[in-house]
Amino acid sequence: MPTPVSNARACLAAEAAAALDGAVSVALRRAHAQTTSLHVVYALLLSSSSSYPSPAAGRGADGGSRAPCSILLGDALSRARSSVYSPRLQFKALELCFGVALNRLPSSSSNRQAVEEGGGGDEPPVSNSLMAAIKRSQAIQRRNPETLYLYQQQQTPGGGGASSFSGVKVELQQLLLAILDDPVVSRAFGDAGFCSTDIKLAILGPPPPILRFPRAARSSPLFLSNFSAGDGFETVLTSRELVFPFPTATAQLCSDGGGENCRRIGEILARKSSGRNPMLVGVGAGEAARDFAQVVERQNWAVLPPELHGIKLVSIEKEVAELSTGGCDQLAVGIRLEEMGKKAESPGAILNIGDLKRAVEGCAECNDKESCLVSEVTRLLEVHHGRLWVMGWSATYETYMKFLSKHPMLDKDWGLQLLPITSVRTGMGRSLTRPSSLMESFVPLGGFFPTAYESKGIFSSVYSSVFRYDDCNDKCEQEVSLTLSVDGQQNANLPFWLHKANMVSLNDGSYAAKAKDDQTVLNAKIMDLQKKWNDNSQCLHHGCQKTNTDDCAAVACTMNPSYISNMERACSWNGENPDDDQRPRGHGIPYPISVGTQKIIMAGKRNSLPSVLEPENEDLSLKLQVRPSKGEQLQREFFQSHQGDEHASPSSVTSVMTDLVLGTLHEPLCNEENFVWQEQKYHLEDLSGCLPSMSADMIRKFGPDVAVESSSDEKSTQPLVLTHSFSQVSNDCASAYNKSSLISSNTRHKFDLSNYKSLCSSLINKVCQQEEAAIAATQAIVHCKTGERRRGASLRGDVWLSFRGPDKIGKKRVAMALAETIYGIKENFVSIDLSYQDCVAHPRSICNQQDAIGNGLQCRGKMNADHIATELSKKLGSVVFLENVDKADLLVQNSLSQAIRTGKFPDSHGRELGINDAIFILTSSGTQGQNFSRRKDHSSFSEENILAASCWQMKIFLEPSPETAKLSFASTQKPRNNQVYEHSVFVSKRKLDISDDLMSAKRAQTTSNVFLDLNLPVEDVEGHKDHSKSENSAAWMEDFLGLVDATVDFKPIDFDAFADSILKDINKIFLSNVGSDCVLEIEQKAMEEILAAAWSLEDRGALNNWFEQVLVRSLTELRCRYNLSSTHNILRLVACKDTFAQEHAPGVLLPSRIIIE
Amino acid sequence: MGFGSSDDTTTKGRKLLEILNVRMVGAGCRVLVLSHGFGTDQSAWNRVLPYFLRDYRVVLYDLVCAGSVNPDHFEFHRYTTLDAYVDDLLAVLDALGVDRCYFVGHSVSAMIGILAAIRRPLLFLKLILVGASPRFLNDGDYHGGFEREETEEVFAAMEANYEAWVRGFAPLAVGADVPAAVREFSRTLFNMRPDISLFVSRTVFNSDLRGVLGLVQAPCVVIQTANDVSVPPSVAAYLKAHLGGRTTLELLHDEGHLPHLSAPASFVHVLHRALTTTQ
Repeated sequence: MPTPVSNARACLAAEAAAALDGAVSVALRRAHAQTTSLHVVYALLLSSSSSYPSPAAGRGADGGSRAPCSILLGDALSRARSSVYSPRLQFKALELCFGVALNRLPSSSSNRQAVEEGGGGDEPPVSNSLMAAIKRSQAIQRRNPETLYLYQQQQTPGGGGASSFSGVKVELQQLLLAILDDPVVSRAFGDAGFCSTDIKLAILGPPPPILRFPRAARSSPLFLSNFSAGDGFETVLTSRELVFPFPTATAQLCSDGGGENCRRIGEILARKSSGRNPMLVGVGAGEAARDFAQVVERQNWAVLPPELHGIKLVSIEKEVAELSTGGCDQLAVGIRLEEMGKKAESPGAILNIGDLKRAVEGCAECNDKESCLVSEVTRLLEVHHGRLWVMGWSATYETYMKFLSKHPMLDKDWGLQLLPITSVRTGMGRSLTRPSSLMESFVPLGGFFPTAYESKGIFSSVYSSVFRYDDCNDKCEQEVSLTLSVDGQQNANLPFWLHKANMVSLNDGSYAAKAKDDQTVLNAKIMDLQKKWNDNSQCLHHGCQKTNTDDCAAVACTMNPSYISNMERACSWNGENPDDDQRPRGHGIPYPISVGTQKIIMAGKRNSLPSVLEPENEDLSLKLQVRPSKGEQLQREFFQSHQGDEHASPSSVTSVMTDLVLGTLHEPLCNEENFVWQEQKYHLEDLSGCLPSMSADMIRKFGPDVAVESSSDEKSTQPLVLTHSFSQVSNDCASAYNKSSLISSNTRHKFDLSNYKSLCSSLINKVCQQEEAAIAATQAIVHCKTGERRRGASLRGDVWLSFRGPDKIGKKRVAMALAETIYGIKENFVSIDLSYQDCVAHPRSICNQQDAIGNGLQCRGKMNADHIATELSKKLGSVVFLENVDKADLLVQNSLSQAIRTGKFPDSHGRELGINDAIFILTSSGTQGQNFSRRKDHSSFSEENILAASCWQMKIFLEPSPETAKLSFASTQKPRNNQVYEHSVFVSKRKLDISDDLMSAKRAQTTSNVFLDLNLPVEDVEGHKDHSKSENSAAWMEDFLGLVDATVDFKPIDFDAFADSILKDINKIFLSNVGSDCVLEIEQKAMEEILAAAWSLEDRGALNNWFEQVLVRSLTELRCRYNLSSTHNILRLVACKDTFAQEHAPGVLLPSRIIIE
Repeated sequence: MGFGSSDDTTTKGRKLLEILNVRMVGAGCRVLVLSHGFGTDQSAWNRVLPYFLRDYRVVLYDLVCAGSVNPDHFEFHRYTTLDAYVDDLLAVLDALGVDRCYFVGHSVSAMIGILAAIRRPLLFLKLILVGASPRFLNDGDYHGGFEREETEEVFAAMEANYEAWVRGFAPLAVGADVPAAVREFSRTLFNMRPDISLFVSRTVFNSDLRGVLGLVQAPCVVIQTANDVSVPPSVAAYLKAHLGGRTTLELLHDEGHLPHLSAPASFVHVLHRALTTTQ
């Protein structure tokens, strides 16, 4: 069915529609029933034929008014024609051939009648073949990403699928390409000696030689996808010139992006909506503007969208520049603008106002002229809407903002679209002119490159128009000169590069060099000015920013919605693609590939675990039968232990057996376990007879409760039992289990009681302050190790404790003591601080120092989860002490959650480590401890401050003070300090005046340097921690701590009492060395430093050494120097917060000497 | 009339997603785009990625110049400016249906991110720029870190023997003494076809974003390491001073141009903070 002309016209852009109208009128005149592709071509030929014998004259005569469509086809034909015949002859032949072809078409009787009657009949409808061509070009154009946004803008929101497709306006170029595929048309061309493929190629390009590199074909598709295999010449064209850019100078042009910039400018100009006037911003903007001017002057239309072909460019750059200096009279500008108005007919003209900097710089009196000019341009833009563009450029954003501030709302009035230009043409690439050695250096890929050369030979025949560039150049030059003469009667008004273009032949090699020189000069100027404006107009741009964003925002909005529907399909497809082994898995599973694979495998294993277990259920149920009675006993025992007289504990042998049975259960499942199990068996056979001399290693292997500290009489009974059970085990696991559990239940009491007692006592020996916590921790561990615990489907030997409350050091000390007591040696202790931040915040604090050094070296280039895994793998049976669990990163959180649930700790690569023998102790500085620390608010020392105390340099100096002063000062002290005062040594909260300011400044810095942005107010960054993260973490913490076996509460340390006892020691030393005449006042910070050192030490020995060696030495030196015996003096011990001690005293993190002033 | 219109777009989007190896992983609702820099591919984020899977939907893709992308798709005449890379990024995000996202860009991708945020201000909630520089060449008072002659020498070296250049450049860029990171960077760097590698370097060195930094409206976080062979500290300060949006500077104590490879733990920490701190 033929389509009505109006429907077909709706699918076409202006030029193409004009071509169709021409075709319709031809069809009408000939009284044809339908309008076909032949009519379209014939109409185009007719409109261009008159000019062909003398194209230059033709163009000169009607200038911009001539239909651009005929230029497009005419140009293409002139380039594609065979050189054998004269042009005139060939064009005549072409007209003839099409005329003949048209004559063959059937005519419509009704139309013929109408024509004969002299009236205009009905428009002959569009034939199916022509409509198909239109559809084809529509589809091709839709696929082209560069024009895609146009169509999306045209789509009415909610317009439905059908209308969205019809929104594509076919450009003439695409229409011609599609029509050339029509067999009728190509036959007619063939009759006249043309090859339609050649014509296609000519329509797509190629531009004149100098400008051919940037953007050979405007419609070059994204990844060549919008041309079918039949249109392969496009690929050929690309590969032939551009695939291997090095050996020629083309690379230089190629990588500077000049053509790309022009194309983008063209894109903006071709927009149908607002914001179609480009404003180039960026260091390369001036260059880009010049490139664009060249493109337009040389009519290198291939770079520009088809609807812009034939466009004119008028520059008033010079006038604008003269406005600022006051040298230009307004009249001249007015004349130029009038000209503009005349030129602004089809297809339109661009007014180039040039560099905004000149406009902005103008003096006060030329502001009037300038705003006059601006309003005149605004008026013109309104009058010639759609046919007049304005463009300008600015090297910096600031200049543009300044311009806008002078002319508010101008970006709206003019419909400006900012276009960032970031590529700068440089002198780079000189080295490329020498022959490339790259190919030799990279042999494996060498095969890529020769093809580029080979193709040249093959396609040179197809691409014969290359050799006819001279013709084009001639035409170009003619046109340029014509444009010049039309544009301005006087050359003086033209930009300087136009003069050059006029004088220098386009083919002249030196032209490029000269242009380059100009550019460098220009660049230098731009840089200078840019700098200037950076300084000047920073204050302006915040206010103005808002106004210009709306445009961009609108565009962004219109682009989005239609894509969203595609998302799902794109995603699912992405997941299905079988070719790439990375994607399918990565899509489904929220882990990176390598991790993902292993995860799947491991998960599979885990899932199969319950079913494998089933055959062994007999064993388990047996065991379960035994347990209940034991559980009762345990409860009783713990009740007793709480009362404090008798520390009872269940069997260690049972727990050994638990481990062994676990081993058997896992044996068929996991090789790793199997290995451990076999090792155990091996050891068992070897050592079953000599248990008392068991190595520490063995003890670790076989469970924590076989303590080294067991008293000798227990040891005598122990071997008997164990030997028996172990030998049984080595023979037959199942039976051994049954028997040994019976045996152990008999002997358990005696053995465990003292073991537990010794555990507790050794713990309490090691932790002087947190006895209750230590006992609670021991109980929890013993309970876990003896109790029957099941997490999920498997029996577990790992223990998870949470230590909460204050006393960071105490918690660690208890954990270390546990490690030493349970595993026998101190080394089975892994301590990791999960908060990276703390190390950074207080890098040199005394309490953190040991950790920071250790962590820092090991963590380098490593994730925390991997660090833990590495440490764990080194010591499978150990106490793992994790500090600041609430600060754990996501990966560690995941690993920990998995570990506590499954008994296997995964590292970041998904490798899992069995943790059956480990005891995890978790601490956090989070909310749990808060109620504890609050209780001691009145204390003069807070744990925070002491934790933050660093190894500052200390100094001691004499403050001669009369009796009265001393008394009054003493009376202001707290009563507790008065008491200390009697001992002649006391702590002062008074800060020294001299260091006060310094200190507060210092503190401000240390708090903010966590965020390292000194320019932001501290509360800004600190105040707005994202809630979602902390919420997530908090939720995880709650979850995680809910799974823990036991929670142990720690009491806050009484630092006051601690300080008192230290002061007593100092007092003793002071009295014996200085005498009672003097008073030693220890400043708060110094005391905190000493406290921190004392706190982090296991015993006071090293501290006392420090008192004796460092403090006493300085005191005696001081006494010698000032002869202190005479009067009452106050000596002050002060910490210098701004300097860190160079050397530490041996064994304690305190300065090795005290400065005496 | 309306046949196949959405199919075309889908096909195009699919094709691009396939070509650039786009992946979208993670369970969160906020979208995080990780865009790798010159000489690496998306695998550079492997060590960082797991930390963000719970809270973000993470988009990973390869730049068209990466070694993991079929070099046939690198059209020399198309990728002459960074704008073409921006086209790709925006097309990928559109094809995925992302309408707002956090963007982490390293090195050249930081530049791409800046340009993308200028073009589509609403699409980017925040830019996190790692090892970013608006201009690598020195220019008057501006200290970009490279003299033109130096870059020419580098290019000559790349041309002369690419493999040797990679062997020398990788440890220099990684900076810190982390052999695994050097190995990884060498691998991805060597994966790039040398002509593409050289071409991209030229494009990057020819780019100058200084004039347009003010156009960025999204808040930015500039992550700068203590010692970056490609980016002097003054550049980070320049970015902070000139970027249009509210900009924060994060200094990493670790060294090198590729902190996500050489110091993932601290990088993740800073990145987390950068993403979550509201400004």
